[in-house]
Parts: sequence; C-alpha cells; structure tokens
Amino acid sequence: MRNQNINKQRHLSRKTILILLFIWTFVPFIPILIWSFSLRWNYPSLIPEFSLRAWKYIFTQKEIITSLTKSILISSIVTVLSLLIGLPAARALGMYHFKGKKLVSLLVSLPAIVPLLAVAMGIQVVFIKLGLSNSITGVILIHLVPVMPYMIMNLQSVFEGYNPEIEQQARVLGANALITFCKVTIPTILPGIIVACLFSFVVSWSQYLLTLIIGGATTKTLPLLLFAFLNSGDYAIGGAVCIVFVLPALIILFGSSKYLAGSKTM
Amino acid sequence: MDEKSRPWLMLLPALLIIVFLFLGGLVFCLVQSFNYQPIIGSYTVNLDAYASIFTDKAFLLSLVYSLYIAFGSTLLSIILAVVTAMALRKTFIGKGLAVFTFQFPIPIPHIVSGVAILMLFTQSGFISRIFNMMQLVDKPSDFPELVYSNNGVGILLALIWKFMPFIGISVLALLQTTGLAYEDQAASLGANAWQRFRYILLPIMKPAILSTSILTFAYAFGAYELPFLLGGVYPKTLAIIAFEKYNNVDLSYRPQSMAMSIVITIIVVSLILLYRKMAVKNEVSS
Repeated sequence: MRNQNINKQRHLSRKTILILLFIWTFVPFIPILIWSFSLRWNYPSLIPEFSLRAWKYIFTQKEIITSLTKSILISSIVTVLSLLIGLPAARALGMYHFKGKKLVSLLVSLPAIVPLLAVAMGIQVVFIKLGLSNSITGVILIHLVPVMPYMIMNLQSVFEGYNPEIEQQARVLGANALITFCKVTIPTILPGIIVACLFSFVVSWSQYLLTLIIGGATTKTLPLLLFAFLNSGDYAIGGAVCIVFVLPALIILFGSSKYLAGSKTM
Repeated sequence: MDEKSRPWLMLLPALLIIVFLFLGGLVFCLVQSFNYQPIIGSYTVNLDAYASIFTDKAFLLSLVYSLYIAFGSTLLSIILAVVTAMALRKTFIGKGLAVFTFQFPIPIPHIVSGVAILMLFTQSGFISRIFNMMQLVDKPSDFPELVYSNNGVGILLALIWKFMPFIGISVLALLQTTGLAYEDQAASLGANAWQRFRYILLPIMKPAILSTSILTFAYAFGAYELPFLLGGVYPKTLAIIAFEKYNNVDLSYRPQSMAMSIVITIIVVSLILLYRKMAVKNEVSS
C-alpha cells in the first residue's frame, strides 16, 4: 500500500516535471511566431493586428535575400572545408595510438571551448595586411576556428566505434585504396558524417561576433541582419528573420534527433 | 609510409589551422596587449594596459558581473538538468517525446533563445501581458525589470534555456547506462531514496556534469551576444566592454581591450587545465 502511494507520487512529480519541461522548451517560440505575423501589437493585447508585412518583406527585399545567400554560402564552404581537414584528423585521433595524443586532443578541443574574442581581435591586424579583412574569405577562415573542433570531435567518436577490418577485406578482394575509401569507408560512416556536417553548419551559421570583427559591414550574414532589426525595434521582421534563422537547427532536430545524444555540440 | 608519422600527417592540416589561426590569433592579441602596435607607430613593450584595467573600477565590476553570469547560469542549469534527467531516467510511456523535448534547444542558436527571452520578459512582453490578463499587473512598469536590468536575470534565463539540455542529455545518458543497475542493487540492500541519490547516482553523474559545465561556464564567461541583447547599461560583461574599447576610434584603447580579452582567455584556460587535472586524478583513484 505504502509502496503504491510512493509510486503514485513519483508518477505525479514526473508528470509535473514533464509539463514544465514542455512549457519551458516550446513557449519561448510563441511570441516570436506571433510577432512575425503582426503589424502592430500594443500592450496589453495578447493578439496583434494581423499582417503578412514581415514575411512579404523577407521574401522580396534584396537585402535579406543577399544576406541569406551569404550565410548559406559561408556556412556551406566552412562545413566542406572542415570536413576535408577534419576527416583524416578525426581518424588519426579515433583509431591510432601515438605519443602526444592527449596533448593534441586538448589542442584540438580548445578553440571550441575558449571564448574566441581574443583570437579574432588579435588576428584582425594580420588579416588587414593580407587583405582578408572585410572579405568572405576572411570570415570563412575565422569560422574554421570554432567549427573544426566540433567536426573533429564528432567524427572522432564515429571512428572510435569503427572497425577497419572491412577495409582490409576490401583490399584483399582487390579494391585499391581510393575505391576502398569511396565504397567501403565513406558508406559505413556516412550517418556520422552527415550529423557532424549538420552540426558544423549550424555552428558556423550561428556565429555573430567573429563575423562582425573580421567581416565588418561588408559580410552581413543573417545573424548580423537579425541584430540590426532588433536594434531598430522592428520585432515583426526580427521575428520572421529569427524563424528563418532557426530552420537549419529544426532540420537537425527532425532529421537526426536519434543521433543527437552522442553529439558534442553546445 | 612510416607508421609512426602517419597519424601526424593526417593531423597536419587541422594542426596548421589551429596553430596559425587559433594560437596565432592569441599571440597577436597578447603582443598588442603589451602596447606593441606598429600600425600607430607604437613599438614599446610594457604592461601599462594591464595596470590600467586592473585599477579601473568599471573593469573590476565587469569581471565580477561576468563571473556572476557564468557561475549563476551554470549552477542553476546543473540543478535543473539533474532534476529533469532524474525524472526521465526510467522507461515510461511518452519517453521518446520527452527526450525529444529535452534536447530540443541544443542545436538552436543562442541568439534565438535571446530573442525569445526578449519578447517574453520585457516589461511589455508576452508574460507581462498574460499577467495583465490575470490582473496581476496593471501597466508595463509594474512588471519586474528582468531584461535590460543590472540583475542580469534575462541573460541568465537565455543561457539556462541553452545550457540545461546540454548538461542534462549527457547526464541522462550516464544514468541510463550505469545508473539504473547500481540503483536497484542499492535499493535491495536497503538504501533510501536520498542515500541512493547521494552515494550512487550523484557520483555516476559527476563526470558528465563536470565535462559539460566547464563548457557552459566558458561560454557564459565570454558571452557577447546574449548580454548585448538582454543586458542593462551598467554593469556590462567583460566581452562587451572589451569589444567597445576595441571599436573606439581612438586606437590607443586597443591594448586595454586586448588585455581584457587575454584576461578572459587566461581564466578560462586555467579552469580547463584544472578540470583536466581533476579528471586525471579521478581516473587514477578509480
């Protein structure tokens, strides 16, 4: 009897926590959504004057489309580059034992942990001299600093669970190194690669301060534009840009949520 | 190819990026913090910038404020993450949806959580309107100042929204794999709920809590975007005053801004090294 009561209590408290968790997680999106469909939204009304102004603006204004294109371009290039650089590095860290591995692991993870304000402000003088400041190339380079560690750490755990014997079998059966890599290695770790790429894309996509310091006004990516609208007090367009800005994250959540638990992205 | 040099060759491109961009950037920041600025013809090397920031009350206040934001957001996130992970650790109907909800904020950009908190918690925000409907609040100024205020509550809320699942999901993974079995054993030996939590589950959760909270602390301590969106005029976080000084048209403020960023970096790196030392000690003792 007592046990039953305790079970009931536990059930109830779990239910309460779940309801609170649901509210805490999803309610924050409600005002963003409402704002994006509003013309005016005066206090204390809970419902605004409905309008599609913000969404029309987003799909027709050249400023927003340019900035969206720039963001997609920069984040895609950053992702591909960090995959090319990160794949061999992750394999080395995940499958080889060598002296100094611990130190290398620490070094690789540091740029993802340490705030990069000092790095960006410090390197800016060099980028100016090299003509990289205020350019997309410069922004791509500085984005590599926080993105590459995530790529490597995510792929490293993929390689730690990877059995290289199937590669040897392919080689024994006569496949050369390139064919083995394309037809055996890549397909086996493809789910891991996709998740790592999606996360890397989002890490680059979310950068604000690094883009601002290195890119200045010329590389106005989506987060920079979002800040501009919020500062001007236009919450309607701010809300709509916010929803576009969150889309890649939603793709991750609905497309690969079962892989999320093992990922190392904050 | 020599087997020994093989992993190093595979690591080479990544290490080049880290050495030239990351460590290089830090070195250039350090050099400029010593007043060495060839751009404006300053070739001297001294510690003036550090002397001036450490005697500047505004900087010291910002240091304390940033520590408050970092400790506050991390500690509250740990507590909430542990409570939620404990509630989700056993199987129940709807667990899939619950875990999906729990991890939902992880890939969402920090800025979005900032915008959400902004629209919810300003004095004329969504919550204030709901309170008005419930006749708890008459006009916006009756609603407590949580955003744009010196108490930093808005910043904390936005950070916790992001941090809690990040800590919690990794705690949950440990609870589910090792926690449940030990817990049942302890229960059958007569340990009560508190004892099971204190002596079984908490030690199991500890590595996950430590490894994730060092990341959240570092992020919060150096945060720029969220304090910029949600903070008040005074005090400001370290990253904000450093970037303001950096943006000053008068380039003679640059060394001070570099020195502030170096201080942020040194504090975070020492914490990471301390954590690694602790982690190694734990490995040895167990």
